[in-house]
Amino acid sequence: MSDAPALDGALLNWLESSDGKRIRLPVVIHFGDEYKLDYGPIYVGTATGAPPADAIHLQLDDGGMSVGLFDSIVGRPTDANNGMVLWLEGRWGALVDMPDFDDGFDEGPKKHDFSVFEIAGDVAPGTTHIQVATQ
Amino acid sequence: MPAHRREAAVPASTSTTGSVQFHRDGSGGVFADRPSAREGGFGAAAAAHGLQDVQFKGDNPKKKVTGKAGGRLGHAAKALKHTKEVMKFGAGNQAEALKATNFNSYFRMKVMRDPSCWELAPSVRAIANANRDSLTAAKADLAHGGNCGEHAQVGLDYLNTIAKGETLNRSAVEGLDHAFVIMGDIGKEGDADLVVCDPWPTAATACTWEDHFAYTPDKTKIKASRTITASGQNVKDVIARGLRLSPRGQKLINQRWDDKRTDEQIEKDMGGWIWEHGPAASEEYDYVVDAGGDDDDK
Repeated sequence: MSDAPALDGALLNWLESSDGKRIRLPVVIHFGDEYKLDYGPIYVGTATGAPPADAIHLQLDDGGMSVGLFDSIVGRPTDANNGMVLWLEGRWGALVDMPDFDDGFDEGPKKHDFSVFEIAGDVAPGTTHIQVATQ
Repeated sequence: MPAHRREAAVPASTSTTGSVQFHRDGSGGVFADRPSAREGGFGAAAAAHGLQDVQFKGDNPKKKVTGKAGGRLGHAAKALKHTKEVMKFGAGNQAEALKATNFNSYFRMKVMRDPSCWELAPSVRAIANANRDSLTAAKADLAHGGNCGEHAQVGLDYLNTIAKGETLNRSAVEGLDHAFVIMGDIGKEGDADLVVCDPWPTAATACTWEDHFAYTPDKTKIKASRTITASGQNVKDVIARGLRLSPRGQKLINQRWDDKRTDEQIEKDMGGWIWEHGPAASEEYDYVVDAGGDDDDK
């Protein structure tokens, strides 16, 4: 993996045109309740808490993982915001197009699909860039 | 061989105690009652794609195991059969199941993993949090889906109810993205006494750790994400009383594609995240208990 685009306002455009590149994103994952039975806000970033106004919100697609993402991370320690920040390795976009039921579950900020293949560890403080696999 | 020795076949679905009859299940198979996507019945489609019941064939090479391993193999075989019955549409990342169900097994796996597909009553949230394998097993009774992780969890939860006192490890091997259950104390027991329950392969059979396809003699490479001593308690049924599919989940488990789109997707992703994996053992044996052998744990 090599450093690639910075975590700034131009990142979304780069991701949208990443054309299947294997990348690592620093992802903020919150749980939605005290029992860790649901997800809370998930977005590209390096610190838990309220997402910035221009945050890139994610819908994590773990269909390509042998063990589900939720079960893989639920035992990890969380911080005071009931969250964690992890490097997630995968590809921009959904693994498989999912049906749109228009059932109200997608209310809130627009969520971008990110297909996760691997949890690549904790994100160090001061991280400023995503990573791109060297071809 | 000392005169008091005897050999007892390890049955696939009965206790080893007192049994000397080889178990051979020639009945229809666990997929026989599946509804059809393509050919008038998932059973027919499944048979066409090689999905099989869990059984000891009777024509494999025989291999002697200790009474301890034999007892575990019996439990593991029961857990495999149970898990295959629960996961009756097959895995969400096995080509045979995806083809037989027109990709429905993928959508069932997605339901299993998406919290928005479930409604969980407040009264069972704490116990669900503390018993994640049982929660997954309760979900699987409704959604019947998953990849190897969910298959291992269902198998472990079932073993927890039938193999009281046994050490159960939800395991993986370093460098291999695959989850399964190892029965026994990994750090203290020999490879021949440890038994694997790996329900995900399409032709899964119970086997000793040394016969499993992921075997490594280096135990430091075995990563147990959860280790428990089987309690004999059925927590799954407690959670199930407060668990149901959400409207979204009910819609998603009924999703399937047409033949063309199914075949195209399998061809595109075969070798990436879609697999064709048949046996769990690197070499399949019909295990026989060496009841008069060196087993000091009888």
